[in-house]
Amino acid sequence: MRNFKYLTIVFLLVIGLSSCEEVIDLELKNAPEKYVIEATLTDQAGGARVLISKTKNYKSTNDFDGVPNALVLIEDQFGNNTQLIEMPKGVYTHQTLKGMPKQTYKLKISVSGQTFTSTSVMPEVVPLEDVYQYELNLFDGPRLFTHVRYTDPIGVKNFYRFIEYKNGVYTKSIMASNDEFSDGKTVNQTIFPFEFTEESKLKKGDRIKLEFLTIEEPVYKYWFSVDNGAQGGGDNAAPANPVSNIKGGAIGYFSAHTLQTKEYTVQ
Amino acid sequence: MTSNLFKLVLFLFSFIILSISSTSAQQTFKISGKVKSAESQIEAATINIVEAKRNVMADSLGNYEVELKAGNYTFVISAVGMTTLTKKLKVSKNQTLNFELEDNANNLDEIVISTARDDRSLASPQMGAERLSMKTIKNIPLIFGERDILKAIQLLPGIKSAGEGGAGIYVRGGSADQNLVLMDDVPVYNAAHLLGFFSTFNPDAVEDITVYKTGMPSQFGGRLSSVLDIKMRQGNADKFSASGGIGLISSKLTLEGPIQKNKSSFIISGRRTYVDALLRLSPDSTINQNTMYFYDVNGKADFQLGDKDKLSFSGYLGSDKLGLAKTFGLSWGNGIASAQWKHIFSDKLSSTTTGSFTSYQNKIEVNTGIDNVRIFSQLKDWGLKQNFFWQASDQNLVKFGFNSIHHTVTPGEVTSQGQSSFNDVNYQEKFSWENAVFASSDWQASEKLNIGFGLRLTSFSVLGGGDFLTVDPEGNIINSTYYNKGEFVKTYLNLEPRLSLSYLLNQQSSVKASYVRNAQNMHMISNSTSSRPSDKWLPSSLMVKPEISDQFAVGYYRNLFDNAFELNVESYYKTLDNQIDYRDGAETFNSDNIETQLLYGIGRAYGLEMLFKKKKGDFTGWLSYTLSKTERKIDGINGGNWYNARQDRTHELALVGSYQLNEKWSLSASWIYYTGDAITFPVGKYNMDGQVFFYYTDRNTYRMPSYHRLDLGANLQLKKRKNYSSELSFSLYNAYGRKNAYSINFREAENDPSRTEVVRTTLFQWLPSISYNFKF
Repeated sequence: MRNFKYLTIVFLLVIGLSSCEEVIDLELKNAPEKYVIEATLTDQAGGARVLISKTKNYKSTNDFDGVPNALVLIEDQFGNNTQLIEMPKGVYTHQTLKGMPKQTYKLKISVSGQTFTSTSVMPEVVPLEDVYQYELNLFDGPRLFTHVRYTDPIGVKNFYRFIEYKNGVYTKSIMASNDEFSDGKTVNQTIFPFEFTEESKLKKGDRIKLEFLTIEEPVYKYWFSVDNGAQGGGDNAAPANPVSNIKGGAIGYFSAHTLQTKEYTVQ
Repeated sequence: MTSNLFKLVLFLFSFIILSISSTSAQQTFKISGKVKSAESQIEAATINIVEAKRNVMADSLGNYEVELKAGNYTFVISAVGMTTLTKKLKVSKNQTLNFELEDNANNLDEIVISTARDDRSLASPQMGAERLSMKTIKNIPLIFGERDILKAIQLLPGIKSAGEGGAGIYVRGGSADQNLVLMDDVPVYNAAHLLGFFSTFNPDAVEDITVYKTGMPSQFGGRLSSVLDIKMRQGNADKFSASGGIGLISSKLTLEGPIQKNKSSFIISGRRTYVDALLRLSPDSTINQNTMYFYDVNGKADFQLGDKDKLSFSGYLGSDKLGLAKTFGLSWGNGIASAQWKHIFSDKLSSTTTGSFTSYQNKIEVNTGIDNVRIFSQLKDWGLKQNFFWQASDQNLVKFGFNSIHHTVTPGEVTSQGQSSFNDVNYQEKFSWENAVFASSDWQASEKLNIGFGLRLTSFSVLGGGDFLTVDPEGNIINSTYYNKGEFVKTYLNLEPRLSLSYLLNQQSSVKASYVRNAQNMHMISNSTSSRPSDKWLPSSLMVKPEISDQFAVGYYRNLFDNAFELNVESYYKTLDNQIDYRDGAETFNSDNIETQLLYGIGRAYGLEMLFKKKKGDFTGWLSYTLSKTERKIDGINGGNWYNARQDRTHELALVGSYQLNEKWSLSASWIYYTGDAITFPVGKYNMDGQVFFYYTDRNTYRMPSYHRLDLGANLQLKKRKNYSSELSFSLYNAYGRKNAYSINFREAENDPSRTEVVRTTLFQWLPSISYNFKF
């Protein structure tokens, strides 16, 4: 359905020859601060990473202001607790902790007298078969897109996320998918850029890194619902925060996922 | 249950019969005849008999009949688009009297709001209704070179535009899907072309539109907020003619004429936009490979079979196509066909029978070279509608009948060819059967008091053929039951009373009050700000209950300065039940489980509407003002508290004027102002995923900036020859270039990524258009 957004843009380009964008000043209210938790656990060592911060006024800077001195524990389904270490401020990691597919993990955070918990099941690995460039002719003419090939396991629900880096920089395009239409199929997934600008075009010599994640349904729901306005755009009539799987009143998510990476150079 | 139903119907009819008062015993004479124009019969003419303080409506074939005591009477005959005729008559015997009215519109059919509403509206208990005809409506500035009837009505109080330049409307706090749009009595499901910038109604094919904001006559039902009853033109039964228009974005052509002179006629009207032809001129290969156009064709044939029967066939076909090179294509459109038979049984009883088919379909095609996928969805209705009109007495017109519609919704079929990433999917088709019986009576209780009451009993049966879900409040499926095809899964019954009163205070003013209940069983939920062709209709099911609205309204109506001016003030309070919205993060495509993605709640809307018209003279126009509040309360949204609906606009003002400068030139202008839509803006931000995310709390607590816009128009009547006339229309949309916000977005500042900036997108800052219209 993302395609539709682009169609709307085409239309506006054509009909609204006089359409224009302008930066304006807007007075926004302030809301009480809320804790923000971004927690991941992967099937690789060092993949356990929890970032804790707070919401802030929209006029302040976009820097990450970590919340220090939290107790961050990840518990496996046998009751073993591992404490994550703060390094640097507000970022809690572990050098050796890694998750196993099909296991359930529990996140427990205590900070300034508040407790937040979440559970996540790490899905099974789905082999990443190929990452390659392919040209599509969409509304701004021929353009190269990274494509990802994998074969979806038949008969089970699967959820995926794709993270693209161009020359070491994250492209900020949030792509998550499910197998509702592709159960058991070999899928060639197109990775769309965050914005269709000249800058976001893939050019010869660009070094592309693609991370392929298998995620569980609540985490898919989180990424899917980012489209509801979390990135500040779109024509959603009712913007809302992404649907969180964290209990205790924080926003954000806890994702136990598997991770595979492939790189290629644009030809 | 059947016997209960029977009792209800019985009750309904006895209710109507009771209202029939006996007339006095003094001797009366029968005056009857026909109202017609030079070209054909006139539908819906009104005969006002001044001394008797009576209003008589001619039927759809132009026939009228009235019984009067002996004496001298003045007959004032009026009809939309016609010059009012006054005739004096001494009644001393039964006699036939025909009236021939003259067309008062110029030769070209144009829209402007009716300036010719007569005094009968004072006495009629009908309120909240407005009739606009293409003929009487003179000048309002064009938008995109078209006189779009759905945009014209947005200049009336209580009817709000769904967005910049859009044909979508909100009526008295209702949603866009709560308007019953009827084209010659057949429902139209998607009344928009090109994401709402054009309506599906070709101005050349439209005769008139009647909008009911409240007090819907009981023959209408199925939507909560309004009825837009659009009548298509019938062809000229006297001579062949062609008319058309050439504009910057679209062109159109209409042919009409007799099939058999003065007995039968046809009209066919086509329209196509050519934005893509302009695209093709672009040397830029990124633009010239895209497709974007729509077309529509209207056709109608009318056959007068003797004095008592009339048969009409009409059809509509329209389609939109959007395509990105050869990779991506989207098309959607409506197809409508109907046959209508009008029959006069006797002086007192006539009937209209309509059989119809309507479909709306939407198709997405993706062809990337790797994947070749087609997604198809459709809604299909077969309908039968029977209306009887019975002049039970001079003081009482009774209408009754039934309506039956079978709905088939195909929510989505995914098919792919060759090797593909996708499986073929067929979502469960949804079948339902909607029935209604209705009766109403317009009763002149006394010289001053008119009462209209009606009842409509509707049943909506969810039919089997698949699994039906029961879902708990958290959206989890708790039960799924299979029903065979044709099996009744659930039947919802609703009784919809309609009551209206008018009381004439004096010859110039009246007060009215009304109550109306409506039920709606076909729902469209949309979570985007623009009208999307992918928005789907969803029938009531085990979980989705019929939406119900109750509306109370009062009004004051006054004619001033010998009917040169008219003032209407209405106030309403409306409650809405079983309103539907999506959960946060809803995936709306999976139609088999759509019920797990829905939330339910209530709504309320209230307001005050004022319309002040100048109807006579070289300068005509009106001022309309609406003060209103629209709220929703839905469990799971905004903490379960009341919040402003998006269309909650506190103030809305429209000022419309047109001036006939001389024989050749006429000028027009319209200015509108409204409070910005209620909207949700972020209250903060945070870091997530290596970027900035925005933080939202309460729903719709902010406002878009106020919207205002001036449109100017001018018509130049070119030299008339014997059989040819033509006209040039110029218009300027948004004449003073107000940068109205179409959307407001938040992003990293371009010159300082560590900061956030707010970006306003404006469409259509000045949009001139010119079109040439001809008729021969």
